[in-house]
Amino acid sequence: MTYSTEIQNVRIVRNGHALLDNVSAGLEEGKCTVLMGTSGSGTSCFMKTAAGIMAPDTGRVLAWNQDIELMSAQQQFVFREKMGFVFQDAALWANMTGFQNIALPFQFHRRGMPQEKIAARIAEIAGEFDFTGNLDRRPVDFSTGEQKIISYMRAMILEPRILFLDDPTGAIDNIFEKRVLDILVKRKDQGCTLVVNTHNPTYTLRLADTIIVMKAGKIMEQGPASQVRASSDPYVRGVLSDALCLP
Amino acid sequence: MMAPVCKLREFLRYLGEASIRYARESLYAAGYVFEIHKRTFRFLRHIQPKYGYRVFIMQMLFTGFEALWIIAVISLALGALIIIQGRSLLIQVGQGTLVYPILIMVITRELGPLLTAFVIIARSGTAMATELGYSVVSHEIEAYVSFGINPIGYLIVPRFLGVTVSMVILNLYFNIFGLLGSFIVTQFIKPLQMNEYVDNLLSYLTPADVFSSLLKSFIFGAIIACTATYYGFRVERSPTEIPQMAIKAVSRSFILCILADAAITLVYYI
Repeated sequence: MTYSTEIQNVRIVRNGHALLDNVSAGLEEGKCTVLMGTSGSGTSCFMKTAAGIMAPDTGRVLAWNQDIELMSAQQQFVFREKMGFVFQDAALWANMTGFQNIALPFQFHRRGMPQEKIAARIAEIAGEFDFTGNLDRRPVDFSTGEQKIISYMRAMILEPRILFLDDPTGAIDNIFEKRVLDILVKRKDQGCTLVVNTHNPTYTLRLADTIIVMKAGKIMEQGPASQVRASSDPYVRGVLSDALCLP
Repeated sequence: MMAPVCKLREFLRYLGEASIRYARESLYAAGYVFEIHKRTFRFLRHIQPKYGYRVFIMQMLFTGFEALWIIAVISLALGALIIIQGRSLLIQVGQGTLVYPILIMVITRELGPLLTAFVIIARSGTAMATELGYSVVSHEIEAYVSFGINPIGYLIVPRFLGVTVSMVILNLYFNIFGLLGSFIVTQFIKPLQMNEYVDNLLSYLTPADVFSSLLKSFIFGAIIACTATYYGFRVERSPTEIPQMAIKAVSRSFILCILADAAITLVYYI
């Protein structure tokens, strides 16, 4: 079993409260791991830690068998190029236009690329998402749904090998929800690793290869989707019944 | 007997914990300042790509260009006041020419850099701390990190350079308006000979005065940029922390600038 990212015995404490408590898990290469849990269970924190955005107090995070903390600047650069993150609240850079938001990671990782090629790539990815809005506006001028779509485009512009999606369906309408799901399925078929924090039953049923259920910063259950669905743990069943409309 | 011992122990523990917390925060701040300087060096040596230049230009515009009129008003008023009040007072004791060294001491060496710093703290210090605090709360900083864009290299270094360069330029501007512009204002109240005024002024102005003024403005600029951005980044999660940190950024910047001013002035006289 090959892991894109692996977190080992990670513990994160903030203001005396354990956000992650001795958590270990592997995110299988080319597969989709769905994270589930009640609010405040630590799923977002898990994602940020696995993506190397949040540093653990103890334990370590490996990306393609390299400890993220110990990576050189060049290794970090390569790792970040292979990774995309869609934040729960879009997290667009407020002082840039939508276009500049999508272009910045591209300009940073493909230095010296002509402006026309960047514009062509952005037009291509906007077409993939069926996004027809004017991108020359600041985030505040977009609806929250549009901001989320721009956040998707920004995360996918570099064709990442691992994609973290924190609440992927939050704020977007049904049409975009379906469109995004199709794109994610396509990416997964192309070998992209997906890590999804969601309670959306359609997304979970269509994407999940592995499910991790969390509670109060701890992993309650993890394993292949079929195995976790059959769990007899009341908390796990409670979380899954909400997400998958189980009895 | 036990109660006073317990209270003393509690007090000592509190003192110890506070000291450790303060030492830790100071070390963290020192590390932050070191990181800014390291990355500024890389930026200037073009080791870092040019992606922060836009932020640098915007910072120069906001901190430098947009503050020109405030600096002009303050320096004109101050210069005119010194000339009018100083001359009328000093002439009475037969020391009318002393107004020139007083002008230089007040405008070039002391109040020029300090008042410019205060204007920058009030305008740019608060703006930077608030903007960065908002960026933390809205996860914009995490978004930079997720793409491997170093927030200090991309957001702080251009601001640090923008504020420092603007501070030096605004201080020069303050001096020009304070020393020469005020002369024009004075003409409406108490006419003076232009040649006499400029010659006297230049005869009292030494390179040490200019150097001291420039050094102060450079150091104040660095202090304001580091302090404001540091407190901007100290915001953790809640939007309610943003104004609290902005206030801290302003008050600490004021204190640090005044302390630095005192230290440089002391060195100047030694």
